[in-house]
Amino acid sequence: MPGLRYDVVPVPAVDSVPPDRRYAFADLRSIAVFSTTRHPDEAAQFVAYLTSPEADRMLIETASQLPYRKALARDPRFTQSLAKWPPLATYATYVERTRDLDIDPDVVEIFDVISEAYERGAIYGIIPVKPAIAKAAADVRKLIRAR
Amino acid sequence: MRAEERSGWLLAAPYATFLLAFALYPIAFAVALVFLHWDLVTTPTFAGVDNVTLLAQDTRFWQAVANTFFFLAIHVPLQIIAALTLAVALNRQLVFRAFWRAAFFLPVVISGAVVSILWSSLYATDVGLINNLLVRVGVQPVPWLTDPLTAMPAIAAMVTWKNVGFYIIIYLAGLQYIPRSCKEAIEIEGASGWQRFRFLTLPLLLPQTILVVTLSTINGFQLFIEPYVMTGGGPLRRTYSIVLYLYTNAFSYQKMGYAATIGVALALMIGTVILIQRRVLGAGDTL
Repeated sequence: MPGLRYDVVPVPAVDSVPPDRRYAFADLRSIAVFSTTRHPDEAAQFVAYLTSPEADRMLIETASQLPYRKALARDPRFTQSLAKWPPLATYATYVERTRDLDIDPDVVEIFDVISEAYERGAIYGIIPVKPAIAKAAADVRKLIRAR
Repeated sequence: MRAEERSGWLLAAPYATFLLAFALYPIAFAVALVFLHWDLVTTPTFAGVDNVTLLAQDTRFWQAVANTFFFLAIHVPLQIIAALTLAVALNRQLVFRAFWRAAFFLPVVISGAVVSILWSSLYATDVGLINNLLVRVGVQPVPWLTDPLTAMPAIAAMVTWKNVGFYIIIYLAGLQYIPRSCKEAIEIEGASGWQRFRFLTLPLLLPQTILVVTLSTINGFQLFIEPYVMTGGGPLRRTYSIVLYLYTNAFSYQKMGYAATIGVALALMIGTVILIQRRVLGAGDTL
């Protein structure tokens, strides 16, 4: 959407969790080579190409997708590519700490609390967004303390 | 044991087994769950009165209670008026009377989920039939199910429409039970149509009205399918009914103990409300 202003912020976590143990969500893709393939060497070469810095740079620049790499955000080989998509900068620092799913036992209820705060603040506007989210945070803390 | 006694036990056994397995056991289990934390997978742990104290402070639960009472405040009176009016109309000599009676009963036997989906499209803001008709007579379209103020009344109207046939039958039975002599007497006294209804039909239908109030209250307290299918409890949780909140806690949050606590609280609430209603309506000696 032209003119849409947006940014990426870290996924909220329980207060007591240190920054290096906070995770972001990612939909990971894996590559495999069949053991029965008639062209194992070519396949290995292709995989090596797909996971090469060169291909990863293309992934960032043309698709604004993040490659699964350790220390991606601090890797000088990708600095220029990442600069093309400023909202990706925060997310890039989380690449080595991503999960497919949130396995918190109360995750469904927590998401309900957050989406209801969003509904009150952003959709119906019955209270401003900031207090709505602050209340959701307080409710989630109460939920976590209760277990 | 005498042979007679033995056959007595034998004859009672099938129903007694049914009652034990599907009524007494679940009730006892629910009451036990009130004092447990259980996610349906791991071993339950003892919770003491945690669930009860949580319930007392849970604003989401009390909002669901308020929503359900709001629903009942619309649904029960509307149900009585609709059923009584239609029953009186259907008690007259009409052409195709059997057809009309069957037509009004039809929604009762249709699945609640199907009716909810149908009415969701009737209530749709931009393409719904109801708004389409409103626009034709120059009224602004109403976002029935997405406006926090109209969502619950819209659901109440729909539930009333769905159940009206059942209560029409109750009132029709009552109307046919009114003695001819009474009707003749009030006619000879020169009462007008309205007076006949007000001073003969309505008082003699009190037992049926008490039954309609009781049944529609009990059913109304169990409001679930309609908000589950049509609104998911929204907008702004305004259509979150007690049973929907119970269901969410049980099957989305895996809090069986807390869900059971809501269930027991609901049962107590229904009992209390019905008792009060019967006192107020003076049902002590009628039913």
